Amino acid sequence: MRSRHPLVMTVAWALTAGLLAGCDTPSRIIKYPEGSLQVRFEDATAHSTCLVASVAMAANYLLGERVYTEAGIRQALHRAGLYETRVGDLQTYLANEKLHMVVLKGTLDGKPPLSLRYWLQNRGYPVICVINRREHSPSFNHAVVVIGISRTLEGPPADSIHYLDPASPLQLHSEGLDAFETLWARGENAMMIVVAPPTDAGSDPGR
Amino acid sequence: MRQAMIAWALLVLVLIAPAVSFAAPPARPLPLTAAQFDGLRQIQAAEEHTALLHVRASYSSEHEAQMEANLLADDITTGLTQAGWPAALLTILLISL
Repeated sequence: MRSRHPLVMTVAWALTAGLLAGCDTPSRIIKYPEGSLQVRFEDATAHSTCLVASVAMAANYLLGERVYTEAGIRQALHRAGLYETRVGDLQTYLANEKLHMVVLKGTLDGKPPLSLRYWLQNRGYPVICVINRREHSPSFNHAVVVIGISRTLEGPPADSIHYLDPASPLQLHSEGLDAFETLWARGENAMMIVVAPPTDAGSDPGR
Repeated sequence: MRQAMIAWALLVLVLIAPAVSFAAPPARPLPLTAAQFDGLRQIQAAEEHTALLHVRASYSSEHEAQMEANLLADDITTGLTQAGWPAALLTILLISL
């Protein structure tokens, strides 16, 4: 069929193409603070998948490429009968992937390997932390990925900690160290680091 | 004269340096040696750390409540959209013919 109105036809096809293209909004571009790890952000698409998304971010950063997605890990957990909100189950999942998730009750500073700062600034690993913005409410525990700590020299010295929140549209958040410590303490100072077991001869990853 | 110029250059560098200082982390995560890995596993085996395996992390219930309301609204609008957009496309094409 031929249209008697070419302009209308053009507009109609343009509208059709636009509707078919969909609304694939590109993800927000993060401006990483100076000195922070440029961890690729993964969205938590459900309220229960912040830990899954955090693990995906940390694992992908370790591997240097986007191997894991929140959706992929979620599916794998369901197939294996593992819980997507439980730290131990994510550790089990990563063990099956030949990775290891170090789970420690951490401190901000202090002796390695319990020090968050040590893992972040000395070894270059993003650190998954469980924080809680409510007191005495473990059901509000939330996983975020710490990517950097910076100090401001203007005025009173104050450190800021930068983290990616997989459930936040802002993605990148910054908090004073004292405030972050308070939030982290409510999450039992749970700290997780995704590492690759060494391939040295004789190493026993325990699997 | 030369020393004065060097001093001025250093002063300028200090003055224009950013107010925020940072310790630059390694460009890539430093791999663990077998000894370090084994040491980590021993430390992790302590009760204070193994207790954290039972920690669960999701999100705040306020967000969950919002999410549930949003999900219901999304389901309704999605249904209307899924039914409506093919009809809209068809209408546009028919008009253009």
